[in-house]
Amino acid sequence: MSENFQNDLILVEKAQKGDQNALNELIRKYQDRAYIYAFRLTRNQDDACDVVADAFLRVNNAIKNFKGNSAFSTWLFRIVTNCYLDRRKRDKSRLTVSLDATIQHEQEEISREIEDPGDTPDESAERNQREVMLQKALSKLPEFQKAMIIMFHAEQQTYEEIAEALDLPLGTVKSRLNRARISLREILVENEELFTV
Amino acid sequence: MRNYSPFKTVIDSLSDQGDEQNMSQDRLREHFSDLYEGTIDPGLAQQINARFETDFALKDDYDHFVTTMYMLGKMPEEQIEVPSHLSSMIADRLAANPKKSSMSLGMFWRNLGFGTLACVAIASAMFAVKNRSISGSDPIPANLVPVASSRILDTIEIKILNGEPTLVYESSGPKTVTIVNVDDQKLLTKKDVDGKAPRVVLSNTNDQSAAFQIEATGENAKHIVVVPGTNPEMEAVGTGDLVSFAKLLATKYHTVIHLQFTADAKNDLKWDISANDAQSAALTVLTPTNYTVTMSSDGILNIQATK
Repeated sequence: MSENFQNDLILVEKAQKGDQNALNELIRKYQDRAYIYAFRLTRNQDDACDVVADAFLRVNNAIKNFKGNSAFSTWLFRIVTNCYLDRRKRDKSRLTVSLDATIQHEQEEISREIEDPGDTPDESAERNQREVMLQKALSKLPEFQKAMIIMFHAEQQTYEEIAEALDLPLGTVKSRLNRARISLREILVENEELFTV
Repeated sequence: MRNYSPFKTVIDSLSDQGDEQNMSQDRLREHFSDLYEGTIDPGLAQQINARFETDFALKDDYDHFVTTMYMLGKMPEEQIEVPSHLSSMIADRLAANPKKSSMSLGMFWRNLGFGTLACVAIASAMFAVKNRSISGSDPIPANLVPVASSRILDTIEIKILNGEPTLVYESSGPKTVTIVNVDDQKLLTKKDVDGKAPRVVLSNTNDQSAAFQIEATGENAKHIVVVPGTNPEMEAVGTGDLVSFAKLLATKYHTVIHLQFTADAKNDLKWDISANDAQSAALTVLTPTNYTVTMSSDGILNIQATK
């Protein structure tokens, strides 16, 4: 059992006994990681903040039910995922804006700009193109598949951790992730030029 | 007794059909991840690779799959900035929680270390020892609700705000605040303050711990804040001054350390660190008659020379 796991367990036990400082410490420790995961799911700063705030509210309300069978971070990933999926269900009818969309600004129409990640243009052009295509393709995946892809590839969770977080058998996680990758490949292959390098 | 393997089962069942070419492409694709990750049964891997020799469509599919995996492998490199108002959003959401109304918003703010935030529309400057010089200002978001708190004047305070060690300072009159990199004595920032000063985040992107010396007009004690670097490696045994010792503690325990001492404080120290936490480690080296060692609620180790 890692030192981090044990430290979290101590904080959880304190929080379960009503120690607000311990809960705050857990929030402080994991809020950035939760946000990054939520942002990768939502691709929107406000939505990601909202998902994370909801998630920590659920943590606050359910901390007494946390048994400690898995790491606190794994439990948190599960809660963030559920908050995201619940939010997507609620917002299903809402209008979404794509990366290529334009913004109506008073009388004029301006292009939506995507923040430059900082690399020099020549070096990063192809990489940027791939990132944009990957995000577009991910957005076309079913939400649950997308969450699994992000957990494994972006958050670098193991199959076992994802299985714990999503309460699924290990084999199911592996087969669903494989299916998600194949779906992603099928979406990406439509942009043939990305595969000719 | 037969060594049962799910992969064997697939091979056997497919072989039973008597025609290798009839192996469903979809069924073979089910093993692409295992093939890519090298966790596939060697027999099945051999069979799929043999199939690639004749089934070019399937081989193309797998090549595209490999490219997809390569693209997915780049995902962790994406830089995502955490917005400064995230903590306040969480605090607001918890404070509005009908199930736990016993905790006040103010209490939560104090617990998170926001107790002295008192102003919107002031600017925060961020600097780092390496790669990131003074970077202009970021306005504090307007939705960050100020909390009434007791004003602490003319006192250099270090707090963890949004996960970053941050200088919080409010003067009773005109003062000058300077921050210097202890290692090279380079002036990092200098601000004339009359009242609330901009919050300054002390950010270190170096491998090694960095020490920031903070001075304010009229302040007698030296304030040095040691911020851990990214490299956890360190020598547990050594000798040196208080700052060197603090750097070692910061590195080993990944803890921000706030030192306060007078210019003539005794500084010749020897250490052999094995304690489980930074405070215990500090207490094994710093004699209680000469130093006060405390851990603040937001995780900053405060070391104050008493002589």
